[in-house]
Amino acid sequence: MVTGGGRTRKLVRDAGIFLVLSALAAAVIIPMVWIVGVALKPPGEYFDIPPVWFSSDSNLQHFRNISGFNAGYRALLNSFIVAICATSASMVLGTAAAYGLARLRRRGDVWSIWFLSQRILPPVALVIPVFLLIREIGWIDTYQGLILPYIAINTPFVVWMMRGYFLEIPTAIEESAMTDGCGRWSVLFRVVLPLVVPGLLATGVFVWIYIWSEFLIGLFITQTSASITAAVQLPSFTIANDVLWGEMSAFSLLMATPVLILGLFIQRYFVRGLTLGAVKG
Amino acid sequence: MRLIGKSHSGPVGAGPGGTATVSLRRRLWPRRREPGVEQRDTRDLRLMFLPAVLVVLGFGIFPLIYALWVSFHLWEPFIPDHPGNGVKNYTEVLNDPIFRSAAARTAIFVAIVVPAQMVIGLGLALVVESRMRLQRLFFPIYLLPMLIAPIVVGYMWLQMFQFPAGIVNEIVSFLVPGDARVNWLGSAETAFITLIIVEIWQWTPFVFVIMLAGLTAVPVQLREAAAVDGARWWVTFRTVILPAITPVLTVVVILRLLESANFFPTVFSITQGGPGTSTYSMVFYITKLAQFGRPGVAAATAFIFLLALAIPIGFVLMGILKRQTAEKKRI
Repeated sequence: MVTGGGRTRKLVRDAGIFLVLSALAAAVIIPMVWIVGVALKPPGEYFDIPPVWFSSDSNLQHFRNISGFNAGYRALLNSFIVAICATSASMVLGTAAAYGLARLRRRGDVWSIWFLSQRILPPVALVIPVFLLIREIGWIDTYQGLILPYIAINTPFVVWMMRGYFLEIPTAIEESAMTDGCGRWSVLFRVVLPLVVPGLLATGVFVWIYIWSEFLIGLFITQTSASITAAVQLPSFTIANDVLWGEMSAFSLLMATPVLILGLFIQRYFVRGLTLGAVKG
Repeated sequence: MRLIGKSHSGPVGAGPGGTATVSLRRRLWPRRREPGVEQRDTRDLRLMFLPAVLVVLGFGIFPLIYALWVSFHLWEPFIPDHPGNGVKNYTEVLNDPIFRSAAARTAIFVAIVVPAQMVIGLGLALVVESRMRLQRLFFPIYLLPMLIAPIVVGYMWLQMFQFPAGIVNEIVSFLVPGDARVNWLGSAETAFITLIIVEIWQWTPFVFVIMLAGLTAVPVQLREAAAVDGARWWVTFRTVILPAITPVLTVVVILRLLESANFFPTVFSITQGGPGTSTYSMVFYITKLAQFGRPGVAAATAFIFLLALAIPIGFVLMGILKRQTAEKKRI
């Protein structure tokens, strides 16, 4: 079937495809590499023409400067604490709810769709009343002021994700455990949860990344180093018309690194997480 | 309500004489039978999802209702109380030229970005799908942009678009002869283009990853049958592959529509809505109103935005869900 000419044509086409894919990969990587270079280079060389990717004077000065700036490294800690707390809470609430909904004979689907529909609401519609209410309770610029809205936003996501995992488990296992006298709660903890550990971890990582990256709510709720999150601190490296490119890039690297590492771990669960379980992947 | 009432029904013989005299509570919520294993099980299951429902109601739905209330009241910085304001907040917004331009910008943005992401993402997925070696090489790289926080991506690209020395300008001046460097953030149109480029850069991987999974799930036999028939690639794609991936395609389009309409961190970091107010997005506009101490008007705008988004997409979603349940029943 394949003639000599056809083979050459295929070779040319494959080479073309490889080139296009490589160009796109370069487009993905170039901004990131550039950031690494700027984080390390001295201020005078930020915008040399022609550009210097990696300066010969590279040093860690910008990383040192971060600590004297706004909340400094505290912002990363704030983000971490808030993300861990809100993730744990929404995982507990959401997983229990998902199991209940997955096993309930009547109306389980209706409630599930109700949870899913929360996703359509634009976050900005939530952030204004949440800001006013949290100011009313006096929780502006506190961890709990951030954690509450994050729980509210992420619980529906956890419910929908975990429900998908629970529906995949054959109920026969649970039924036999229940005829042995186990109640629902012990079935959930002893039989079901051990089966969905990968799903739990992946969902938790997704929620954590969402909160770590979240900007809008953080912008409204936080004010000082008491609660300012990393995402909200990043813009403050621009002072009027002057931008501290080195410090900003260094801080960007610190923000991106944990997420990139986590992302590699949950590669396999990506499709499912991104589509709220609509596509199994 | 019925749901909460049921969950209150206590275990057998909860109190002394519980069955002898009919308590008021029992009369209000009559118990048909003694709670057997099944009832207790249903009660446990309901107890499991009740907390989550309450949390979402309390911190998600209640604020939304409160926002609706706020949107009909006057809420200005130096006025201590908040008298009713009728629909004035709404009419003020609808007559604001900045609102109109922000709404138009957002609509145009979505109309450009979503199709572009779909075409590039699906195209890449089609190319890579049957070439495992390339897929293993490039997949982890293409994954990266959507992992990074949008605000970080925004400032990263702000560096790329610097004038005259940013990397984008280096590439432009390398490709185009003469002094072709562009002051990207200097004019409304080029500033808007930077936002479009960044959004495509960050979220095309999302389309790619999911469409790749969707394509992989198309049974090989289907495609082989078409290939044996000697169908051309385009015909195979249109008649075999496209119908098979339509459900996945719909999900991706909906998610992209929702998220790109909410674009905000890039505007905040790259253009600051400028030059002037030319690149205000809806969310940026609402945020500005709120930050200038006008939550009433901001809430009104947010509701207009919510309705414009949720009504069409809600209809599409309901359609999908109905079709899915119909299919389940048929099987």
